[in-house]
Amino acid sequence: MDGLRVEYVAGATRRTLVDGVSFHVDRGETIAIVGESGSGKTLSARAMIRLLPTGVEATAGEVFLAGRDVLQLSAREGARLRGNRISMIFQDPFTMLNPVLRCAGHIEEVLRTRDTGRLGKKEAKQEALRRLAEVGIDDPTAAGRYPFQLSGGMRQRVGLAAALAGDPELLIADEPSTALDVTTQAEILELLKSVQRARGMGLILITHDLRVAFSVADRVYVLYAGALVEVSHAAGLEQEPLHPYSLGLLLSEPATEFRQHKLLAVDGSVPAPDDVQGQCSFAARCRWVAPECLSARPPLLEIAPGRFTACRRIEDIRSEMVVVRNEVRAPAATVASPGVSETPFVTITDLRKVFAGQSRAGVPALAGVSVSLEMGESVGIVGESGSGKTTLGRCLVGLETPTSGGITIDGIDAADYSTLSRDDRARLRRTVQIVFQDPYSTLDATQTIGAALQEVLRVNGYERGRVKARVDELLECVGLPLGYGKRRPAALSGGERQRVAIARTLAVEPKLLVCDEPVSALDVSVQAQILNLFRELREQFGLGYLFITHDLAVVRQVVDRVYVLHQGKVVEEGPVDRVLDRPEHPYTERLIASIPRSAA
Amino acid sequence: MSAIASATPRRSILRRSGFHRMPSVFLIASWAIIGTVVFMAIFGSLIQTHDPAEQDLLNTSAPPSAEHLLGTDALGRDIMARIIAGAPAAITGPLVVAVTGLLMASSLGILSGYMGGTIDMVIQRFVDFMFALPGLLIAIVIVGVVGGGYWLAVLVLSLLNFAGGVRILRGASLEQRALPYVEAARTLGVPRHRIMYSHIWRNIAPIVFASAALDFALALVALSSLSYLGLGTSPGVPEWGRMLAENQALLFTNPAGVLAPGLAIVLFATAVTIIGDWIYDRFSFSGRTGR
Repeated sequence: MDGLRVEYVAGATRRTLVDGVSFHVDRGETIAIVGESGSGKTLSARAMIRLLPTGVEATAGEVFLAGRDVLQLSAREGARLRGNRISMIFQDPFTMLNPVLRCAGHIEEVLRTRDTGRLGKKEAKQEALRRLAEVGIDDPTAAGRYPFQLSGGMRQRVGLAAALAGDPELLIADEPSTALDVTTQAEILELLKSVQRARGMGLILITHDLRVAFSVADRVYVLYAGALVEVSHAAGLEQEPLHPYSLGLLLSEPATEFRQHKLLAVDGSVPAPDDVQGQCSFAARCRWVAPECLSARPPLLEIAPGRFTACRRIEDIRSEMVVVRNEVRAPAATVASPGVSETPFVTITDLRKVFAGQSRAGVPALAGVSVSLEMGESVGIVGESGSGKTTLGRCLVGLETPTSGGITIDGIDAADYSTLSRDDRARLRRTVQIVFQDPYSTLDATQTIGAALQEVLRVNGYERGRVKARVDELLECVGLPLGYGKRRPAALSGGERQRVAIARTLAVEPKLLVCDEPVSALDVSVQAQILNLFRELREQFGLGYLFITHDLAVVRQVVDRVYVLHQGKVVEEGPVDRVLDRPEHPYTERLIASIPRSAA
Repeated sequence: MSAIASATPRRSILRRSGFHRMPSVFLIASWAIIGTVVFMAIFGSLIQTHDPAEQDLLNTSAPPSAEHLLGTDALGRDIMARIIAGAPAAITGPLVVAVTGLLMASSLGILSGYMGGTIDMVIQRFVDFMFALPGLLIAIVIVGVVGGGYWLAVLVLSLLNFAGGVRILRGASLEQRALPYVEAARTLGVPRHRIMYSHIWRNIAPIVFASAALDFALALVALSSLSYLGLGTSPGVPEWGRMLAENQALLFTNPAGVLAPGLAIVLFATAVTIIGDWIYDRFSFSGRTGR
């Protein structure tokens, strides 16, 4: 693939989305394309199999597959190419499969439309079973099930089997593990790797997660704002990144092994490719930016065998980058956990919550959970989806009413918000607040940021005259420019919206913030900014957190104590360093083992 | 992942098929039609060349001429003048019906969707009951028995027409209710009425207005139908539906006289519907780019 350019074309307006990206994959090789959202990684790969969305066109460049230019093929030839020579698996295992087709059907469909010798119905069925076994589904009854009867991991396996049914020479995997739980994620990556090796096919892995890339790929392409900034073999990049952006990406990934002194965050967010034409695309966010970076787009140069970088100052700043790296990677002193006193700030005892479901017994989300928090303490709740961690957080702020069990917050019985007196409820609202995961729907899209903050202040009885000043104060607290008060959420990036959401909770000066996966929808570089913000706020206001997350690296960075939740029960609890370094429960061990690690 | 790859907003069929590349002829025409009717309703008396009630018994059922642009009816009245004079009736009645529908549907629909439980149940059974009533038929009976009157017809239609809107807005509110911004407002102590009638209402406003536009068009046709049947407006009052009935006899002598009021009803109703659809498309995703 060479010099690919992808543009969004709508009438007279053209927006560049991918600008001059080149890469190659050899037979039997795995490459990873790494980048944040908006970097153009998905579009580059989609252009290869000619599956670009309507309105988006590949306007320049060529894609050669075994000597033929894919972009020149007719639509018909393009369709024959897909499945047979290149195929693709997608991020979302829930929508990737046709819900009315049985699992085996997805595979038979491809098998039966192949060019090489058509299979009979019976043979196709046999073959489909064999293919399912290849991806680790040994149970023959699974073939007859519908996608909705399977777990996410199983669906991703079926998707993979269907993608492999045409025996492609090249497989493109677009964030294949992102939507899955950590333990499943590790299994799927392992499976991809082994299938790729066994078949000797090429594999392109698209991911935003450098750890995932290192664990699977031979070579890594780092994409930023539609252009390549660094190309390297995986081991080299992990050892020493040679572009400030790769460095930032690598360092903003929180460490899993220890608590960092400070997380390195890359300020700002990914620009649109058109805004950075004719200059280094990363210049605006780079701490080593020099005038020459702004005068022309730096070319991708080979500075060591197998190492390419688009940074023209790399020789000058290389040693400085190593210093930064060591600084950030230095572990902070372990925090001493004060331990739980006699009368904790928040006590949750034997909490149970059963959701009315299809089965008569209902679905138990929480099966007797007891948690306690000290004032100003930061506690993590770790678990996979379905472990009940979100339900726990929602019960705490009264969005869910537990079936049984007790919640006491600051001396108030908060098990059922609807039975509380008006005063008690108002007091609780000012004590506990929640930050949600999705930065896009957490704000009212029709309201300006300033209006949203003012509303909260007013309904909580803030003096009229001081509202305006307080809004400015809040924006400053979360590191947003004052001018943002006039903007609407649509004009903000995901990270900025999450900052607004945090500012909004701070308006009531809470003592405890329930954070429900507050950073999991954000890009890594932005994630680090927000995690730093959480740390700062804690120092500044003595805020306590109940930090709900599936990400062990994140939890390591912000909490003192951690509870591990599994199927609605606490299986392990203790100081975060102890639990993560010396897990006692087998489930915790499994969670920790499934963090992606480099192959080397 | 990228904004374009994942953001495939719902679009109307017209747009998906590429019609939107034309500087929407339909849209411009619709605005022009609505503008014309509103202009006629407000300034009609100033541009009138003839008194709509003036009879010229020597020149009845005349085809279009320079003097009478659309000819005259069986009593020799200028049809152009009567079309213009009929504009206020074509706007006020339907507008009252649409606004009543908008208010009722907003208040009941959001209340029903947001509160749930018993309140929801009661409102929905009431809506079911309203749905079971054949609206236009009841209007015909009541207006026929009580003895007509344009405003009685408007009142009856207003009361019988909002059920559909309630149901639509209840569904939309249910969807909004589960979104984090609503939950955040709840935990932040924002009062219920503010969540319902400020936050949720503004977020579903495009649906509210689109459904009101549809109500308007339906009310226009319904009121015209009543007048056509001789109910509603009193004889002599210029009204498009009534003109359609009165001028039927002119079909062979002055076809323009029959076609004009019919066309006026159809064009105006269609224009309002198209604009309603446009409002929905245009504002549904504003403030939500990137989603």
